[in-house]
Amino acid sequence: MVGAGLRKRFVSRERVGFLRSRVRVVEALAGVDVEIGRGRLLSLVGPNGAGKTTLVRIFATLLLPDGGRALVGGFDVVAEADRVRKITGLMLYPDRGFFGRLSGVENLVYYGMLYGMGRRDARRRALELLELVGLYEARDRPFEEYSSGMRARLGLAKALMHNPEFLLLDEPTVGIDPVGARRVREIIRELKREGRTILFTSHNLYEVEELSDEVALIVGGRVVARGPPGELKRRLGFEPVAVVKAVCGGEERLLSRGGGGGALAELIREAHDGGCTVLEAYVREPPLEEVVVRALGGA
Amino acid sequence: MRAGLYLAARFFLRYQALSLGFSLLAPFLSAVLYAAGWAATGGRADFEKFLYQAVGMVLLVLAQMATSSILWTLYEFMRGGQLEYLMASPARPLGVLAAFFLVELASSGLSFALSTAVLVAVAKGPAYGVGVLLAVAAAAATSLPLVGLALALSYVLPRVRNPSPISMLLNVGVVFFGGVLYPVSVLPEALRLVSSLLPFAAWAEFARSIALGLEAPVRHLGPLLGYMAYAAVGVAIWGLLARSLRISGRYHVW
Repeated sequence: MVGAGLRKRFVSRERVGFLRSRVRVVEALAGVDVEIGRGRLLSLVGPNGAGKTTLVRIFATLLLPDGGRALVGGFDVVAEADRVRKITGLMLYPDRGFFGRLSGVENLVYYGMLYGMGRRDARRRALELLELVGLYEARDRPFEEYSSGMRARLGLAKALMHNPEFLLLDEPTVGIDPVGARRVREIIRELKREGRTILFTSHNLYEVEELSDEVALIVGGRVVARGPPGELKRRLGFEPVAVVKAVCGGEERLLSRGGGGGALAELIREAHDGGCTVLEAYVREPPLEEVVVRALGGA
Repeated sequence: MRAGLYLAARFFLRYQALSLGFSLLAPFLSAVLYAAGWAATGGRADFEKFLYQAVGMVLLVLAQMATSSILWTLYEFMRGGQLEYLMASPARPLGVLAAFFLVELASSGLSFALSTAVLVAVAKGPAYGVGVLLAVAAAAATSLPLVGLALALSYVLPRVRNPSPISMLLNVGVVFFGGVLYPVSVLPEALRLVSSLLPFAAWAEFARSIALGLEAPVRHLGPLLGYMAYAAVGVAIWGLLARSLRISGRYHVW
């Protein structure tokens, strides 16, 4: 999945009086370059309105870029939209896009048929996926009776109906309870293991760190930093911290030093030399959240 | 199209009993009104006019399916977020809308047609009952100009975010200028001109001449073919709408 120099502006009219209105232009993407290697997961991270969803929608062929080029599986999202659609699975909102009175399995069969599957094949695939996402028992319940977590899992199943190689997941865990979110993360991890290429957005930086091969920090329609989570932290001046918890002369102490495994070994040696008993030793990575908040200029 | 048929069948089959109930209600209420008129005028109420309106009622329902119903389906798809997923799939959104229309015709439309056919058959003879069924089939088959008009007006749906004003406009067109409940010839000259610009009257006359005249409506075919331009315009405007959605991203109305 490749995006080169992607630009998108939204123009809308804002009413300022009974008869008057003014044009409002929002630059959603101002020349974004992204590249996701096959079988990898790239997370887009940034504040609301940064352009994450716009980028996802361009890759999903739902939006035409004003400039630049986007390719999915080597196909252009504008000129070869139909081919892109066949190989891409999309999840835009965890709780929308379904028909409330239809059951989970009926909703999935419909979506499978949209991708050219026969009814029987679609049903077989739907049942397989319902099993995968842990909704098999609820397969015949109307969608409107599903909880938020169940809806999100059904959304993932929907995105997988036609077994796409590429997945676009826009905030798949938003508004879901922790248990449901964890289940969704487990499924995404499983999808990654299967070798699918995933573009993922989330405001939950814990899950971004847990799932991503790479993170792109996007602000004001521009990618301001990009790289594997660990590398991104170093580049933005965050180092891992070696921490040793030890008992010295009957008193518990916490020793710490910037650095990775080398610093940890040094600390342990010093503790032993000082006659301390080491209780616990580990390297603490600074959380991605801290890095992102600082990069965005927050507290 | 197949996905749309699957979806629509699941929707409408759930309401089949309800739709059958409504379809029986229409001719029943018409009959009650006629009986009341007959009693009030001492038997001078015109039975032919009653049949004219009974058939007109079925045509009115069909016209609403071909116009307002399509707009409301589109609106529901926008409101529920399904339109975005549909547009992101390789399926043709127009095919899904068409499937909804066809299934609605086959379920609710057929119920109305059957109940009216029974009424007409009892009143005028079995041949006329069969005529009503043939007329409804012909009306369904030639409703493309009506569908085209609805598709053309759907262009403004993402802006107005509410299908009510558009469907009201279409209903006014059908009821006042459509010649379904009364002949267009009773309208003043200026309104007849408005009526001639719309496809409803020719379409209704085409169907009614089968149902109540038991004649092959060859002379109505020419104007009806002319109104097919609405279908072509509707499909072209639908294409523009799809493109404008991909530019603006306004797929939803919540």
